[in-house]
Amino acid sequence: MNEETTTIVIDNALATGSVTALDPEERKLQELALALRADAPVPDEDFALRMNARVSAGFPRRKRIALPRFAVARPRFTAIAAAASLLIALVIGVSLSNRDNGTEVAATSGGAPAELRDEASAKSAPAAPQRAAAGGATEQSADSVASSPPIVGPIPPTDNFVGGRNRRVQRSAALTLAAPEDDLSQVGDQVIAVTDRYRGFVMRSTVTSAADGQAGGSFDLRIPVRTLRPALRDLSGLADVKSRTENADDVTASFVNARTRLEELNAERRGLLRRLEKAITEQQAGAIRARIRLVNVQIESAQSSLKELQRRTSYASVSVSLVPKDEGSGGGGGGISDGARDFRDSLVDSANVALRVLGVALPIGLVLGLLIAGNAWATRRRREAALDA
Amino acid sequence: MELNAPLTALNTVESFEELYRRTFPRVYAYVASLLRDRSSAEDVTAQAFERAYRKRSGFSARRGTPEAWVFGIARNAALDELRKRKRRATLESEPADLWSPGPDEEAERAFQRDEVRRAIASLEPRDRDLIALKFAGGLNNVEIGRVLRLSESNVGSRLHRAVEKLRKACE
Repeated sequence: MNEETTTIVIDNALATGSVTALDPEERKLQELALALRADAPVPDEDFALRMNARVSAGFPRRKRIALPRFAVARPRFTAIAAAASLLIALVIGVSLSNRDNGTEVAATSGGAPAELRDEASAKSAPAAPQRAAAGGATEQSADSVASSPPIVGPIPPTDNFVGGRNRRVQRSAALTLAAPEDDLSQVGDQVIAVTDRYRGFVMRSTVTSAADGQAGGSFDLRIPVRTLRPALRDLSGLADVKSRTENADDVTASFVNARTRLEELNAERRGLLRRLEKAITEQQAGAIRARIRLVNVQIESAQSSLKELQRRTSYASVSVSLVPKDEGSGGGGGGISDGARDFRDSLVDSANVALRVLGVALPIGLVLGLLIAGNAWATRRRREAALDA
Repeated sequence: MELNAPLTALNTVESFEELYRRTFPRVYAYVASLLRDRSSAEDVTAQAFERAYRKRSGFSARRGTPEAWVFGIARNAALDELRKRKRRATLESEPADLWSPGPDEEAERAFQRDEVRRAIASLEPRDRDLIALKFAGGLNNVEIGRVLRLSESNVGSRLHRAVEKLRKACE
């Protein structure tokens, strides 16, 4: 007898309440099925009456000490919620901690480089001139030169986004802003205000009104490199940004060469002064003095080059162009285009908010879902274990 | 309302009462077969119906028949009771007063019943659970599959094996 036959034979017997099969084996099975059903325990009459009454009354609750419902009815859910909260707090804590660490690193590279440079230079300074003289504008030689005793004054720290913290990077940016024609002058004033706020200076500025021809303006600014990013952010916020470009040129090699040249000239001057002290004849002394004057001129020139390089790497050149905003063609069309733009912006903002909410809700939901599923699985396993022999 | 009409929702007291009337003796029989103790069986049956009553709005016909749903709740309650007992190490205790023979029961019939009971007692708990769902609970294989989270064919296979063991034990 196979599984299917067994089921059919048993179900027939249970449905009819009698032995219907002809086959002796099947008859035995049906007799067993009926015996099993007949042997099923029957509830006491008293119990059945009590149950009937309770069902009719809708299972009235017994009075208990008033505890919070969630604590009484759902202790497991409370535990899950507590575990999920802890997990989320842990995740947030770890992420915040990582962010703090990142800030510290950024601050180290921008805010406190001098001490680090001095410490590093103590080991590598003696070999630096030779390496630099050999024309090796490598990271190591740049470190050595930057950390050697200052010749032309302290070097301001830079926001080096290209490479190592001692590299010399010349940065520039160009920004094209579009503002309504009537506001061009006002935006121009704000460009200057932003420049002042970040301790920069305006090299050149031009604002042309519509009466003089094509309205517009241009500004040539110098912004301290360390504040370039916030300055660009503020400038970009003054009007609609049509274009924005940023350049970074590594001038470490030129810087090292200029510094090495200055050191060599200083060394030569010291040598000439020593020779002057030892000069015997007036003719010899005159020749040496002439040479010293020549070296002095060369030193001034080298210092000037080095200062120029320092200035170029300390200040970023920022070019701002102001152009009138295209108000749209066709009389009265501006309102519609503005409305459409606002509508688009609102959609983008809504999508951003929705994405952020989703970004938070999704992991929390996943964690909660996993915890609930895990709890259900564990409970089922525990229950089923009661049937293990 | 027709007594055997299928229930699809339990959101009214009347529909729950109908389900109760249909299933109460069978749920008790199943629980008592599993626990083998009248007093515990009564407690667990009452508890199961109370839980079902409180959760009745959460019943969904997509997850099976109301009968299978009530039996699932009763089974969980019975297994919880078994776990408690296991902690007290009395899981395999003999039934005390579950089956009391009637005064005029024939000797032959009584002998046959004892034989069946001994055979059932010799089964593994999981097989006993299946046999109880089928014969005391009166569920079909699909409903048993819902309760045990097994496929219908799997239930058929297990039932076949359990019945074979029973037959051998009775011989």
